Amino acid sequence: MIKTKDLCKVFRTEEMETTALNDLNIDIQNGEFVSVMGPSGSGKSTLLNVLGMLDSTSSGEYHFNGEEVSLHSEHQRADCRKRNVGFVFQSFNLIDELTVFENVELPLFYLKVPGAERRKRVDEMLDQMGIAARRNHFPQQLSGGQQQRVAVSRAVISNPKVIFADEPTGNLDSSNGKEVMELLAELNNQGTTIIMVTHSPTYAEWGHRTVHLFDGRIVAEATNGKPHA
Amino acid sequence: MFWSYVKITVRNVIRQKLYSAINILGLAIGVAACITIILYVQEELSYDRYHEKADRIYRVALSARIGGNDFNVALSAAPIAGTLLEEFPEVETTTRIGYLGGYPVIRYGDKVFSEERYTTADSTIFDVFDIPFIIGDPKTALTQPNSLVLTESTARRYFGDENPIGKLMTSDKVNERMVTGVIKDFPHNSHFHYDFLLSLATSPDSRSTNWLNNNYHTYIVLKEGASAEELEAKFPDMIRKYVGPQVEQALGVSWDQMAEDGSSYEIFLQPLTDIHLHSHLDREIEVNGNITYIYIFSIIAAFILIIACINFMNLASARSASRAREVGIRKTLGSNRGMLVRQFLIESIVLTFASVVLAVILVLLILPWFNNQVGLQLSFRYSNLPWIVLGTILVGILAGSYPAFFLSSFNPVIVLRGTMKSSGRGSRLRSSLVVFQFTISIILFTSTIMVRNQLDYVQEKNLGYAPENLLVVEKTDDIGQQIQAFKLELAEQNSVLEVTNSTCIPGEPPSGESVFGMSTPTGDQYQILAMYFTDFNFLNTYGMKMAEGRFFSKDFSMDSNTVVINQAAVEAYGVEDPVGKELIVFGGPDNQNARIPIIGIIQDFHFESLHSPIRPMVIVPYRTRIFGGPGPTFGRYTTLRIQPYDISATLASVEAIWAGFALDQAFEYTFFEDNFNALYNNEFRTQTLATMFSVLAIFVACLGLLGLASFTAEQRTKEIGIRKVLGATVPGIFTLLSRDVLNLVLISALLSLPISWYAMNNWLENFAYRIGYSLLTFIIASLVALVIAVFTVTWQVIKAATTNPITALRYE
Repeated sequence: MIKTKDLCKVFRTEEMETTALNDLNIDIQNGEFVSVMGPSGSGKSTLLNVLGMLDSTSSGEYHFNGEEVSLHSEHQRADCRKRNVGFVFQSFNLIDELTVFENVELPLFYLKVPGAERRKRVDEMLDQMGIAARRNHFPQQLSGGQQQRVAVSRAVISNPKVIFADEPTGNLDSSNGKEVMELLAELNNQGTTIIMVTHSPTYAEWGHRTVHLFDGRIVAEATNGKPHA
Repeated sequence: MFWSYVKITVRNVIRQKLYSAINILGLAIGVAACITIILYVQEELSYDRYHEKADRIYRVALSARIGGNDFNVALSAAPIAGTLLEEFPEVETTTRIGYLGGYPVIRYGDKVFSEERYTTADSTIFDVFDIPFIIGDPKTALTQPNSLVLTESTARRYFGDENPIGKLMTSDKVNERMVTGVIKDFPHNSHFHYDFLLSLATSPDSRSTNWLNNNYHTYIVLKEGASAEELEAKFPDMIRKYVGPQVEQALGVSWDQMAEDGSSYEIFLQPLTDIHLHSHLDREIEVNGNITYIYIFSIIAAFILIIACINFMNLASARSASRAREVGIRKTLGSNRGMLVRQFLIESIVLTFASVVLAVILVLLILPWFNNQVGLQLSFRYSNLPWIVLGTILVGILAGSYPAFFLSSFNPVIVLRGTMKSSGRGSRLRSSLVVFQFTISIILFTSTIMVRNQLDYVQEKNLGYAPENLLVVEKTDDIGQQIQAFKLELAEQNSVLEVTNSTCIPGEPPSGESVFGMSTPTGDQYQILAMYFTDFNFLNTYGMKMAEGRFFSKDFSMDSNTVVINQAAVEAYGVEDPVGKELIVFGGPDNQNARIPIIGIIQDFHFESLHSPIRPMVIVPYRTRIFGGPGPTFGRYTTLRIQPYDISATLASVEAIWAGFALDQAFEYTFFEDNFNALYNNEFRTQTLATMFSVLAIFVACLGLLGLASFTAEQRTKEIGIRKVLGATVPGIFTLLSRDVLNLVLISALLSLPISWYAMNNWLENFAYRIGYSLLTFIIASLVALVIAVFTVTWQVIKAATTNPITALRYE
């Protein structure tokens, strides 16, 4: 599903050059759940952004589902992204002006799904996530856990092949955090590939394997005991 | 998709109340001002265009220079109309409107009115102009002598519901006129408004062949395709043929000799549709508008709109930080840039639309008040609506384009990481836009104050007489020789200090202008002098002063054959010791020139507005034999110098005395100062408009500044928190935050100095007597702008400066 070869990402400003990803090679199979760990500044988020096609590569190869993405224009990347990828963020990133329903609907909107089908799919999704009662609420009216559930709903509404989660539990207490992890594990069980950045070793263990980053390189890789159900 | 954007816009409006109010209100005020000015401009531009032949109608006017004097009059001589029609095939029709000196008193039954909008006209007036008839036949209405055509409202005034056709009306108790037609009232966008049209055939003068007496407004219609320039090119020959011999006979100088001496005589054509805005000749039918003011107000309208649009752009880009996250999320979820641009443009158009709807409501509400303030009759033109909608979309795109392209360019990775700094470029742009707004505001403000100062100046300038406490009873010529008794009775009143009767008063056109000669060491000099006919008490009543010699007096029995001239006349003739010299008056009955001794030189006084310099004039006492016969013995105006108190009692007693003489005729009076100040009506209107619009411009600019200040304060909350943790004081923070605004206003002031200097000097040139550009005024205007600006941001700044630093830092 995801395969990189000597992937580099360099940030340049007028005075300095920062190498965020350094000849990174990673291979992720369809249906895998991969946790990414590492200290601040090790390149975790950059990796997620590049793999999620939010950001371009500086050099190296990046194959997504057989496509060579590193040669794509921004427009092509965006197109590939909206068809294949969903995102979950630490800070939820819901749009404050939109209701729960409208936030979840948004990706379908951009995929130009017809209105009736959009409503049907979003209603089903909200039901499934147990937040149907909140459909007309605005994000500020929800608890953190509920907000993240909306965010996850929004990430999966378009049936993406891969979900990128950037510290999805970072802003949640432990019980809400656990709930979100269960959601992700469930999605993974249904076949969605998940790549998750986390600081928490406990949550990392929910993945099939954990990749450790340091200074933009993979320094260690461990297969976890058994995936949680 | 579209409705979802509209929905988001509406929610944004509700969530960001201050921001939305500033945006929508600011733009609404700007658009309302703009629409109002456009209505005014449309009104002014529409003058006389409603005539079917408007583009082929021309007025014949005269521009001449004789003996060093310039004539530029909207009048022409009686025979011109006929000559043009006979000799030039390109002329289709002509018509003449008489220029009448006095105003007749018209009677029907018990109805008596003194009529000011009364004139004579050729029967062809209805062929030239579109003047719809209600009753009567335009072909024949004015063909017979003593035929009278009335306007609808005038007919109702005299006849009520009675049919006026065939009725006889009395003019000045002397002549009987028969009503032959009733026409619609003239629309307000006509350059003339008469209530009565008397057939010109009534007047023997209409058949005069004298080319030197210019007493008619002459209009011609050219045939389709004929060129006015080509016709004008043929005029010099016509003038040589007809005017030349008559000038030679009157002055005894040959036409060629006169041309050699620098005299000229030019007849020219004015397009009908240019008259209202472009014609500023003497003896216009009504006071015309001025194209310069059309330009000025159009520019002001554009400026206010631009200021409001700038607010829109500025606030949107200032708010970019808070919109950035939304952009990031939308991009992450698959939106491309084009879709975001569309979203923000739709948002902008929706907001603009709300503003415009509000603006139209504002205009509808405010128009009656506005009309009242500036003396106009504007009405909202619904035919403008399509243009307003189109304008809305354009303004929406214009105002929304910068935020749309700016916001949609955000990189989602950066904005979602939260590391986006508001770019230096953006804030520089915002600063320049604020500078632009304040520059315009300061220019408008400075100009407003200077216009006011100039008008104060012209009102307070020493006019050469005391204009206070002068009561003018008008149309006293209607009681004829009884004026003497009327004056005597008035003079007995304790409240009346002085009384005088004259044919003319300052502020009204002189009673005549004529060429007078004087013998000088270098030969006879000829000058045009404005003429006043007065009784002996004119000088005292007005409080004028003599420079040399004396004014007329009862003590000298010969005084009814003398004259007084003003200092400007002395200067024009270039003579020394003028007292005792004689004025040469042309044209006695046997073409014998008369000579009248000068007994005094009156100090120059302003008998016209301060737009013009004081011209040479002559004051002639009643009964003086002039132009071959005795001059008038009474005049239209009786001026009373009254006690400054108990004005209403004085008025009542004067009216009672008047009624004793005039019986059923209305008592019409003005206070001299009001009448004289009416000469500056155009300027007063400009002042009112300029004041309103500059206040609006500053208000809208300040609205924008308020919004910007609140966002700057919000943006810098963290910086302020850190500074306070490190020991900054509240006043320190205040200075830090308001210094930016201060700098911007100072730059604006510097930029507006040369522009306002140029603009005001240009405007002041309209006055022969004027104040200079005042640096102090400019500084005051700038300071006021500064204070308003600082005051505007203070509330936001204080809020930011006094916030608990912990809260501020937690904001991250």
